[in-house]
Amino acid sequence: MPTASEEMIWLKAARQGDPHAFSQIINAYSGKIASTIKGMLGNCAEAEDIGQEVFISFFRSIDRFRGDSSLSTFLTRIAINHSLNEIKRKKRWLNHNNLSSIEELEKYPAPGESPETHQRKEMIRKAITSLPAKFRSVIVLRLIQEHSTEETAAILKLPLGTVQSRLARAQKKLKESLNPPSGRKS
Amino acid sequence: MNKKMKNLLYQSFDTPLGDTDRQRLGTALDTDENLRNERDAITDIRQNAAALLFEPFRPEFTKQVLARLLSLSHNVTLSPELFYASLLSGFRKLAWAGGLAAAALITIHLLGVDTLSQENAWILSDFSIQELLSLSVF
Repeated sequence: MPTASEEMIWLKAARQGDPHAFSQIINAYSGKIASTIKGMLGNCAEAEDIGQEVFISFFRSIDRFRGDSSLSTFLTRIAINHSLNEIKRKKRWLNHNNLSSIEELEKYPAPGESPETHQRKEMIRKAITSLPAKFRSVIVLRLIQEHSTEETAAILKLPLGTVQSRLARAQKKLKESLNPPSGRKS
Repeated sequence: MNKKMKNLLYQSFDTPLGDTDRQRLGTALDTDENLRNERDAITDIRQNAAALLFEPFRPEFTKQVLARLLSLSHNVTLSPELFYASLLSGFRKLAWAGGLAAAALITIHLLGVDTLSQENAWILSDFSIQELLSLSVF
């Protein structure tokens, strides 16, 4: 991750239209933005287009970035908002085409892992992408990207208490979908 | 499983607990097997979620964003269509707001009169046709 002073230099140059500064910002944060979007939407075909939209939205409104939050936080917030819009758009599309689940649109590649680990991770990944959007965003930020609860609240512009209660409810939902009640020990 | 202890357990993953709560949760975990199972299940989910890897964007991602930015900056400065489209969308919003305000005023007026009629709705009952025509002339 770049230092605060590096960010300042890039931002100053980017505001003056320097394409090299744009490239440096994109290169520094595209990995984080990819994991945010793919965490929210799964490894879908639209993820890369949405990633492009995130950076384009940022550069078009770069003068409005006052540095109240870090660049990383600011970009992650844009990525979450774009992902939430995409989830809404997909839902409308699925309803219109009488499909039952958003999962039907998503494909996951097979990484080079042991079958058991891969299967467990895929189950968790699938369970996360099946969560309602408001729960998915807190899980992606807190559990996958490992932001603190305070940072998660700042990115989502939510009160800390709301984030804490959504986290608890999201984890209960994940547990229920991964370990259904019939499989519980008494 | 005690519901309060379950809530405290979930809270403990994301917020540091006070001494009393930490002790109460510790005691509950020692005695309640279901609570321990719950803790283990959530720990497993959290560990696996943290280990999830997502593929980065393709290597040409940066070039593609820059190319789009360049084309957009040309389009924005050269295209009057974008300007008219945003103007039209602004007028639409204004029309909706005006329509809603008129509907609200009519509703408020109807609530204040004794009888419901079309004349009352348009506040015409107090005027004759001649008076209305004379108003429109001046």
